[in-house]
Amino acid sequence: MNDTWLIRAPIALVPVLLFLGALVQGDSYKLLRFKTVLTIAAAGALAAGASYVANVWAYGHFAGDFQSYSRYVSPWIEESLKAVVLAFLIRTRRVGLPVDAGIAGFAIGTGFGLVENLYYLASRPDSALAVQVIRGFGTAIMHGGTATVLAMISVMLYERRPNGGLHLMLPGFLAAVALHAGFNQLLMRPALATLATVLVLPLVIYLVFQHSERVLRDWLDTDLDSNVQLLELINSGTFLDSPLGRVLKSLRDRFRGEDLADMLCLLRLHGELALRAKGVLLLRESGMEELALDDETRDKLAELAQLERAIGRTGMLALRPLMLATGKDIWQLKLLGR
Amino acid sequence: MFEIQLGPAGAVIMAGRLDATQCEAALKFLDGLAAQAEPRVIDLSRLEYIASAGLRVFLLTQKRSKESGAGVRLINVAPQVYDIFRYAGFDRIFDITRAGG
Repeated sequence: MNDTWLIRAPIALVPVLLFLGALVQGDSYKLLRFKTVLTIAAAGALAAGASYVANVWAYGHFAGDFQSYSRYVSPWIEESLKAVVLAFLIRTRRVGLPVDAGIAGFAIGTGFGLVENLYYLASRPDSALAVQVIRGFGTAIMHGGTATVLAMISVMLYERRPNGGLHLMLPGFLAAVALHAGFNQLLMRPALATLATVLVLPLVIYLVFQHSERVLRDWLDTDLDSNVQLLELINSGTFLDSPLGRVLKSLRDRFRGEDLADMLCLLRLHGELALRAKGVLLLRESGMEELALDDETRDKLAELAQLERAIGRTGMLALRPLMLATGKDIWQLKLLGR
Repeated sequence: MFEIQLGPAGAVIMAGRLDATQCEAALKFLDGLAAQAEPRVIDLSRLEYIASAGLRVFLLTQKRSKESGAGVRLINVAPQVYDIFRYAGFDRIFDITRAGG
């Protein structure tokens, strides 16, 4: 290790880490824990390793020059591998909102960019300092930015169709590939590419985050009221006379009495747990210490799962008009179980 | 309609509906009270409704009171409001007593 390495390494590695740190700190609801962010970044680093192998293989079979390869082929490979990590996080409901998905996306890109830059530092120790500036402020942040775009677009689409297929990630994936290819296109003028990345991407991500936090706060307010109203109706015994209750009664000719009783229990339990999850979010937002999961909530989560099994797929589908079943609604219950 | 005032026994009395439009006033009132070593008592017997923004007011007040070593005691909480605190898990955060309890 020499003096030049000590100057180059921070330039290549620190900017993207600082940006990731700012995103995690800027999330008022602390949706992703620091340890989780590190794990996701590590997965991004593994994706970079896999991408190296795939790129070596693909370039070996590519007829054109390296410039064409980096513009038209490598963005597809690299964004695909980042998307695999993200698909796992979305499908297992580890992220469910634009804010946490965006942070997760940037963490994947950070891990990816760090490994790439470390590789360049190690394999080209004599490259000009300007190259490390471009890699640190340009390429690494670009990797974070494209994965953030992919994550946020995908989660917004899954919000409307939480059980939708992988095809819902396609629009975000195409946007990420387009941005990545555009960056590589600009690499003929590296200073311009870096400047564009540093000026545009952080600003766009910041604005989208601000908007998403506002949307989350609004959802918290309106959904909490809906949960409370539903529980008041059920607890007061007037639910079956309400419009929602009449929908449940209309299922009498299709389901057995005990199934309908289970459905009512499920609605009540879902409402109670949704309120509990919102309590967790409000605690995080106010910066108060979070409470450990209590036995009562743990039992309720187990009972909810048992009721879902007892009601079955058809029954759950029939309940859909009565239950809020957006991505956020499903995600908030996962939040409790973590 | 929302009202907040200091009762004769020193307890803060809230009445009406504590929603997003009233939170700033409620927080300002609570912030304006002198810090004390004992828990701040808030009587909620006449509070009919609370929105999530209202819950934020209590959380922030609790956080600030805890910093000065005290805390918040919610007393005479009407059943419909008490249930919201309980479902949200805040009965483990506050010293809270249900009306008639």
